[in-house]
Amino acid sequence: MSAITHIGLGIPPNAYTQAEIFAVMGLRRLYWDVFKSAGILKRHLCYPPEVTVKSTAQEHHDHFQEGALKLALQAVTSCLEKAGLKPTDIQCMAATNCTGFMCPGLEHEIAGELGMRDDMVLTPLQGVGCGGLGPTLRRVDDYLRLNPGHRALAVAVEVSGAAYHPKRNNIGLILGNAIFADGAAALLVEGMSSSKGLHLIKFHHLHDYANRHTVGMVWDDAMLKLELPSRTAEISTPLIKRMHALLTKDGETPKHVVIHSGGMSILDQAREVLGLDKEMLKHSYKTWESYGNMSSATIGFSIESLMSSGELKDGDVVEIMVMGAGFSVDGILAYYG
Amino acid sequence: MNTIIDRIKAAGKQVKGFKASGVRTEVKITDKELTGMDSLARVEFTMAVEEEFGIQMSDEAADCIATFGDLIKVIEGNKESPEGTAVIASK
Repeated sequence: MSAITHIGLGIPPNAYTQAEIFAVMGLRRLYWDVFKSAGILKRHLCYPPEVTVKSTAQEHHDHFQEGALKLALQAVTSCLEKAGLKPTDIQCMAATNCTGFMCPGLEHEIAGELGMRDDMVLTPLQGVGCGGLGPTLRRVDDYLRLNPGHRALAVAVEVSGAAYHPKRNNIGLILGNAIFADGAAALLVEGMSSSKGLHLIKFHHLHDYANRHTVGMVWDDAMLKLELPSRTAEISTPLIKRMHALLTKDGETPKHVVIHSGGMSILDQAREVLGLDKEMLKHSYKTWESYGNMSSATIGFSIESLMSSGELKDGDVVEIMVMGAGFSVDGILAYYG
Repeated sequence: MNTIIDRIKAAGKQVKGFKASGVRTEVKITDKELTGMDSLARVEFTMAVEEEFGIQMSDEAADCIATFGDLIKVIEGNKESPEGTAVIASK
């Protein structure tokens, strides 16, 4: 059984308040409520918002390529340092992102920059959206079941600023610009390890195909646009309920729950549906308040917050859920030990 | 012919949680209990009303609106004086 043993984060050095971002977006004051009520203290961005809002399609693309690689290298290097490993100790890497496009993908760029093995299994998972780390962890877990003595990295990287769009004429787009941020997470997953970690027991995946076009990225004037329906919480709630039932059908009782911090309303509604107190979801709330929605990287921040908190005790069951484009919810049940 | 209040109610129907019964001149638009709207829904509501009446409210006009009565006055004012400063006709 594989386990997440170490996590490295990639965080842009500059962070901005909601007021600072709103001030340069040139929006009507009416929309300030959307920014203010989000409950985000700061968002980290690779490029200043005043640059991002005026960028051309080509500049957005360049920002993504440059920013994503920087963040990914920061996250992977930090992860390997924590584990005391060299880049050549990794046999498999899967990377997910949705806020830009690269071919070859980020996993090849990371491997090339760090001088990793040339016989690695490299898998790009593009376009999975905010829930990208779910299938990415599934991919590396599948690999490690076949190669239990190996180590793998699951990497999620997003430069959401590269998908801020100048057309701000609908609530979904304004909401996207009001909550998304940049960040990267690299999770070391080991087939066999002497380190403590989160052992991955169960994976489940649920999809609401009728809502496949309600959340996601849209191309508009050669630029990617991040759009969110204002009622994502309502779309996700039935799937979250079903996912929880699937993950705990053998009577498991999660001690800690980590859910994608897609929005305050998503966390509040998930908490209500699952009957959790706020304390049980505190790492997801903390990520939301401190960083905003970094799409696929977000859940990595919350898992890292939990793992570094000192709260995990041997045998603790942890429930992890991500949701995103598809409309999909991916769930993982793990135990600490 | 539909009254302004009927058209406001019709516009609000697009907004999740909106309670048409709360659309009364004395009711504050921020009264979540009566209107069913949180802050995000209120933004959606304002956009829907603007679309319904073919207008775009200036920031200054929006600041003066507390109740549905205030909103009706702003819409009526626009109808009587399209060149006025409170509301900018956008369509």
